[in-house]
Amino acid sequence: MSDEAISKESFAVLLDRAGLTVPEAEAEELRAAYFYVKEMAARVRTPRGREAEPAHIFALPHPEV
Amino acid sequence: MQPNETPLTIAEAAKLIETRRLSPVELMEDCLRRIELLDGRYNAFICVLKDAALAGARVAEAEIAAGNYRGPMHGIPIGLKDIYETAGIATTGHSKLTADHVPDADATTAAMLTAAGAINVGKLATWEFAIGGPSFDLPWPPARNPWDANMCPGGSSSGTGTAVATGMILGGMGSDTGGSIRFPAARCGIAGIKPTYGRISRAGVMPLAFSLDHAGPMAWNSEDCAIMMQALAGYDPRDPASAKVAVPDYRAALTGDVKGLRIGVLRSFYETESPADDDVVASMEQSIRVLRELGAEVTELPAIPPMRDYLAACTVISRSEAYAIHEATLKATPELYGKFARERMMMGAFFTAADYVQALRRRRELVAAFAGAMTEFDLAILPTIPAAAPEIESGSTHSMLERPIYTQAFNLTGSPAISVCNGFSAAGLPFGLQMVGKPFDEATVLRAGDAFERATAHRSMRPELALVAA
Repeated sequence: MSDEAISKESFAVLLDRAGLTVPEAEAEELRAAYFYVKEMAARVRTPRGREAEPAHIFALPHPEV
Repeated sequence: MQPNETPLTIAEAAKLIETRRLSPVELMEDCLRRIELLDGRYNAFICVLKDAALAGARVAEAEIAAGNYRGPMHGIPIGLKDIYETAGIATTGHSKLTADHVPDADATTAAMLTAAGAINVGKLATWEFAIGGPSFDLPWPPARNPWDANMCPGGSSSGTGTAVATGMILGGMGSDTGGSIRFPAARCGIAGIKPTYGRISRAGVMPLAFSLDHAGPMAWNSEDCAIMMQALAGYDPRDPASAKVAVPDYRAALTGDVKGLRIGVLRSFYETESPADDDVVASMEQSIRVLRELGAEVTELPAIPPMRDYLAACTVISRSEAYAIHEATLKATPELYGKFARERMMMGAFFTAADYVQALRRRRELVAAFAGAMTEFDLAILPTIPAAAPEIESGSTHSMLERPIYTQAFNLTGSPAISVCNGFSAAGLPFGLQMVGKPFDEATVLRAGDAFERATAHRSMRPELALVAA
């Protein structure tokens, strides 16, 4: 079983979806770094309830009640 | 003037200028002479505005002679990281992509420094768009470490750090999205403060990540940072994140007294999770002793989530936002970026929308966790960097993920955080002590940094500088 974070074929799909044109050598470097993407994406998914709000929720200015 | 003569600090120069024992023209000529002798080796500048700087110095001299002294920044030579927009002067981002970009208006902070009487000497080298460096595939070379020109000065505010440490300028502007003020401050042996998010305007500063970018000053010491903060802090309607919070007198807060200050050491980050080198740990222990001798109560900060959790949330957010900003040009003209900026930003293309939202949800949790730990404390302290500077050519695309510095957590939390010099390696390369405060309490952060600097000998150490070969 491969130790790769993502196969060449799957990564090519990601590049294509992103609309990025990258030389082969650089694509391989980006693919090699994909394990950071997976690791960090997993790390931000700590268990939480549906009601947990993201940090960008903002309140509009309003008059004092 | 000889380049290894000790440069003045902002505070020292201000005292002399106010009492007319030093002319702003003399001071500017001294800085320009340093640039002429040194910058060929250290590459701190992208462009030097010699004629405009001298003209500005003459205007300052005349104003002061006429009794119109504006304050301690009047007549002081400063520099701007070349992501700060300057009207009529190229703002390149240190990139081929924007090499010819000439803004119509100044960044708010550039205008505020001018209004305070400071004089812009030039635009400073930066990692490309504040993310890609140290790079050798850009139109201008990277800035080099003032303590050893073969070494990396840190980044992304690399030129600012180098220019201040070498005395080419007395203070400068940096920006900090994951450590880019504090990191070069530590590597260059100077002080640099990332203020609270929203304390200093981001308007007119090329963005890297909107919700993590902070503008801030870098100078030889905390007192000089306090003087610059006074000129920079305040509400700006042009910046949607700008805070309407009263600006205290930062310089008056520098009482030298830290008795009873409650300081928590954040050991987990640098002892277990991402261990620092032995000499960094030793400098940190010495710093703790100094603070205790000054009367501060230094204990362990209560546990917070792992540093890698802060790093992950910060990186998912920063790379996603950076990619969104540069998406069109990364797709259309990727060859106009250097390799490091291109690859680091492209990582943002591979995070999903759900990844980004989850990172924002984690951000709220991590902010609350740090605030909770700080309930009974005034400051948290830890090293800024895990090791002394490596060779400048040893950088890799993901070196900041492989061995992180200890700064990103406080971009995520938006806390004010300063790096001050707290020691040197056996090879004479500096380290930094990072002091992190509660939101909008820059006064305490600066007071602690200043007291620490006055109690140690590090501010008397200056780099031995190499002249440009004739």
